[in-house]
Amino acid sequence: MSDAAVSRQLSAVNVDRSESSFAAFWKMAGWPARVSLALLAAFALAALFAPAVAPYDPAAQNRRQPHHPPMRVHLAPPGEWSEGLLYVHKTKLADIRKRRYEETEERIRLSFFKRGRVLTTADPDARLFLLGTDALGRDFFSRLVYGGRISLSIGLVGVAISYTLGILIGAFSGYVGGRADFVIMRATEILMSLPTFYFLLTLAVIIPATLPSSLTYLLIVAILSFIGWAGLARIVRGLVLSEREREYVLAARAMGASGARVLVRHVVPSTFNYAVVSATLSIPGYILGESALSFLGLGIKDPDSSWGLLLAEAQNVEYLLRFQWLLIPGLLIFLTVMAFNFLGDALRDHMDPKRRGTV
Amino acid sequence: MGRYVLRRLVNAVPLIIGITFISFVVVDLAPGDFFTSLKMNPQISPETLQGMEAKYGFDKPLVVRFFLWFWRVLHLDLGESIFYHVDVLSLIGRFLPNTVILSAAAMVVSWGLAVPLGLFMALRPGTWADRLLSFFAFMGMSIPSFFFALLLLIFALQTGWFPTGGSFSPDYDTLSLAGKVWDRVHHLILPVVVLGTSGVAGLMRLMRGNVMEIMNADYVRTARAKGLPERVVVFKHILRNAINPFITIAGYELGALFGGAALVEAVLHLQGMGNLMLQAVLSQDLFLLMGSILIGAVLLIVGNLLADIALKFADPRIRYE
Amino acid sequence: MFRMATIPRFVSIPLLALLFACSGGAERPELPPTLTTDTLGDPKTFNMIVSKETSSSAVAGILFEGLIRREPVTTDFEPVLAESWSVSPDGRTWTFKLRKDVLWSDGVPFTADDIVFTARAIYDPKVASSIRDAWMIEGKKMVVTPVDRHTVSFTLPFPFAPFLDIVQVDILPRHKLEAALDAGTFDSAWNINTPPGELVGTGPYVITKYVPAQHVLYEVNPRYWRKDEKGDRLPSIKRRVLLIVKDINTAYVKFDAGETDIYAPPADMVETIRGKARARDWTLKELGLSTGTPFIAFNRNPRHFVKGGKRDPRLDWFTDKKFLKALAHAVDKETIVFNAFRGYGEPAVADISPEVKRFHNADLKDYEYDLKKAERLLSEAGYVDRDGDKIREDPRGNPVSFDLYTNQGNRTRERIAAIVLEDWKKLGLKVNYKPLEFNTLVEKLDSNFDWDAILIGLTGGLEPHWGSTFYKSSGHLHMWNPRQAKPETAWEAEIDRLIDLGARELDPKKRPQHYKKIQEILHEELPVILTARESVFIAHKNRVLGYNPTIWGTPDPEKMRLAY
Repeated sequence: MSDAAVSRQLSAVNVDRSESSFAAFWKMAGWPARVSLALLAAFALAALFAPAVAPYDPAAQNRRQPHHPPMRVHLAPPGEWSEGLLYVHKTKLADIRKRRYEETEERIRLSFFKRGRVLTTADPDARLFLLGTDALGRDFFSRLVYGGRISLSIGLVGVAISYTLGILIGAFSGYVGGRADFVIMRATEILMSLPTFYFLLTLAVIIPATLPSSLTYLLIVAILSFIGWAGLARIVRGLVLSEREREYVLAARAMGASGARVLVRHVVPSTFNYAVVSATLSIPGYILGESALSFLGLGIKDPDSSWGLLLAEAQNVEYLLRFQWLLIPGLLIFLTVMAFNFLGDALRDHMDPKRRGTV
Repeated sequence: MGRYVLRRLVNAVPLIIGITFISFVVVDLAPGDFFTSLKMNPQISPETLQGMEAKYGFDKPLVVRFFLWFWRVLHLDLGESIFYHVDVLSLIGRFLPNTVILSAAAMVVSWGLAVPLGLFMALRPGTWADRLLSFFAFMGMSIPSFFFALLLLIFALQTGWFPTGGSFSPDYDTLSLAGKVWDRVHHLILPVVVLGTSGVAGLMRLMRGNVMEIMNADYVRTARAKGLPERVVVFKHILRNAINPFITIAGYELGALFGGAALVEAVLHLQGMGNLMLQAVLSQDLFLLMGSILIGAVLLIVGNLLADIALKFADPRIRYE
Repeated sequence: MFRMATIPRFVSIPLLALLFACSGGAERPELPPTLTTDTLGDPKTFNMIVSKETSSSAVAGILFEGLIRREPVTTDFEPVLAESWSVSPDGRTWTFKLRKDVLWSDGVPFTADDIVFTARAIYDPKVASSIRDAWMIEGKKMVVTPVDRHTVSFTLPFPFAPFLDIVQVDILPRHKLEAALDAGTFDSAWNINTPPGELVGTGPYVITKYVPAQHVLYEVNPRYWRKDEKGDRLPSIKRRVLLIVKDINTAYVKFDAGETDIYAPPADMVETIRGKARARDWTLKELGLSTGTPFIAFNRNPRHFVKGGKRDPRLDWFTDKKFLKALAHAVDKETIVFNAFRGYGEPAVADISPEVKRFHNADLKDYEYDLKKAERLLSEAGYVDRDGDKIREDPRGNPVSFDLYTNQGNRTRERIAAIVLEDWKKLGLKVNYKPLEFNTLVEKLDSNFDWDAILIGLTGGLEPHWGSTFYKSSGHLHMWNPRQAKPETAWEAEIDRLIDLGARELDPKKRPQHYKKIQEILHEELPVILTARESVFIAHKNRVLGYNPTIWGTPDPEKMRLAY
């Protein structure tokens, strides 16, 4: 980023140190931000409690029910509520090649909180496919819930890594100055001049595929963060440069506080407000990065699941036209990213009331 | 000014060495190389393979290979694509124009829409039009480009209104000049919609923010207080100042031009740098990969420099040491 | 997919012929009716001798011809550039009489010198030829001699049954390429930047324009020698376009949009095509079963498993017939056909496809899918869960745990792996599934041997001898234990012997016996467990006439016509 642009960013961020409680934020936020927060909370809870929310093991195959369409859930007539509030119709496979299923008259009763699941069938051998199944007959809803674990957390973990790096390195660089500052700034320039997407592709190839998927996942986050920290470090450095001339820092030093202590206790926290807002706004970048990599087959791999990977299945044109529930992961990515954008926007307004209603 | 440009150019040299060296190391870390896949061909003997590896210098240590490569780059020789058996520079020369045309078109469209819309929104903040446009902006920023491209592909497939990929028709050469232009434009529409959407969304919000900030500035209030007609205030004072940051962005887009289109190219089957690069990554075509990264980096650096210079002309308050 | 970069030229001929057969296009009045087909990926070269991938041969192959070719219906050889051929009584010298009316597309006459030149280029050590290894007969070169201007002879070290298969290679023009060969620049001669006018062949078409990643335009070669019954010059279709597509999805999109005339749908797309065929005026044809089958190989390489005198227990499992048979009984081939091939395919039993009628062994009995039986076999062989952790231990107490690899990005294979994996886990085996990037997989198979089980496939052809690098213990695609100095086991020694016998056996009646025996041994010893064969389909617009492809290619592609 050019120096001029950094200075613009700086002037745009008013370091407001007022107390910011959740209640105050909720009160101030408009409905888009509230809906976004609720949506993200719901997604996060579902992912967190995936084993209870997902009716089935995400890898369990129902071999004679491939590409089963989503089932319609019916409300039972009041007289039958003792047997279960909700039911679906049992289906039978009418044409294996066309993947055509026909509903039968037979009803499958659903029950809540049975066998450790929030919602599942009363009969353990019956099947409930809320959002259909994939080519191997795996319950798509369960796969989405488990996939959410990766897609949702990747942004948080990625931001945590890159912001820790960015803030610490940026603050250090700005505070110490001199040769260290020069070297760090040249390093950030190199990182920022990398053609990002190409470099990302190149990096993705070097992840050894023999690694367990949990490690692969972490490496993808690390790669994304590795590219992400540089821009932030420069901005934080700028903030620190202006901050360190402030009276309270000068006062602390005059009172004999060591350089490192001043850095950690006073200078770094002063950049937090900026960081919270920009972190919220940069989470979508990580989510999109992961889904793009997985979509291209360079990220998370089957049998694990992530939204990007699940969407890759929909690249098949026929699936797009006939099994449209396979597009749901795209919708979920879209909704999540939008929610983070709304939330970040509202947070910025909240932290910096002067700018409310601007960018 | 001259000294400033010179200094930036001198700085660019270690930058480029750094970028390319990192990339070189990364490519080297990847398991296997281009020849690995040939090993599965029952008709190629190990001796043949060894000969080929030696020919392309794959038997030397990493650092030696890097400097051999860099030395040739200084002589404008980017090496030969192992996969295509062709000079990398000419290969890039064939694919780059399509990406540039696509990105330029997307840029023109997104600026053309974002600037007036952003201005319009800022002048009527809080109205339903502002809210609606803001909401669309959020949607446009949030939709993953490859998902959007997939949706448009279904649309094209269902309606038959648009070609389903490619940059021009096979019978392009037989068309009249007007036909050629239309053919190109027709093929550009869908990818430009995808690329332009995210562009419009981001820029529109930026424009709106800038205008609102400037509207509160003292000189605008003064202008209004002087009784200048609103039209003059808006176009002369507000618009000109609000556009400044866009100049910086234009510089970055020169680099982003190069990479941003890659996913869209992949989904909509366009023949640009993105697909070329993807192919190079998958086949581990070292020189092609390095060539593409180098060109990408150079474009980005030059873009930033041009932006900073342009900004200086646009905004005399900015000084460079 | 293995076949991507690796199909030997000969095996790819059927594929090529399929592509040949394809076509269409939005015509403007001034253009002759045009056949438009698709091809996967860009050509890397137009030089058929250094071409290593089908994407190149699909584009350039249309320009050239060989001495002879296989007729796709009878699968017998038919004359092309050679009018006739004969073999000497000792079976070592083959003599080809060339056609005298053949001109290169630039007007220069075609002669025996061009054959000799092509052989020279193939054998030149400086040329990165992908054909040379196939032309080495047990390590020896063939001697190619021009007898006269229109006669050429090939002298072999000994009678070699698959000889006619290897002489199908495309013949290149000496007058255009000899200078490059002499200068040592043959590899980059005729690269993708070469002006199309320089590309001179004897085939029915010439390239007029190549736009990378877009299309290749062809026009008829006005000097082409073939004529139809009425004496009109062939080919009947005067213009062709080959659209370059990135993946099989794009190929469908192009066909559906009416941009291409012919399309080979994967199993997933067949129902869509069938559903639209009537309304869209398409014909869908089922050609038969694919020649290859995905299989699971088990590493039985002592160079990897025996180190410092210590023997890894995995080597014992993977060489234990009872263990392997139990696994074979736990491969649900029916589900593989249903869920990975969409119901279009058949379980594979013998290594050689039933499509290769002469060599296929139809007498083998499959290991039927029966988890109970598999469990019983394991228990009988001493693999039982002794510590109650639901994982079986081998007779010496090691828990049975191994890795299963496949190449990622190949959706069909990933699905097959998922199906097999679920069943093997049910047996009480700990199987770790690891989809790997293709290059890594090859490195494991070929250089460091660090793998346990792999799901992979190889393409087959009409001539089983091309599988010898897979069958023979010294072959480098003998995956379970490649490049052995001498065969590790008695049955591998037996297969080696049968392969050599088969290659020297000239009697077409006796020859198949050797290969049937090989299939029997593989079925019994189970170094690989076969899965299923996918059906191959072709769809074309009904305006394409005279197009009757088989799994081996299109008969008389030059006579295909367009109704409008």
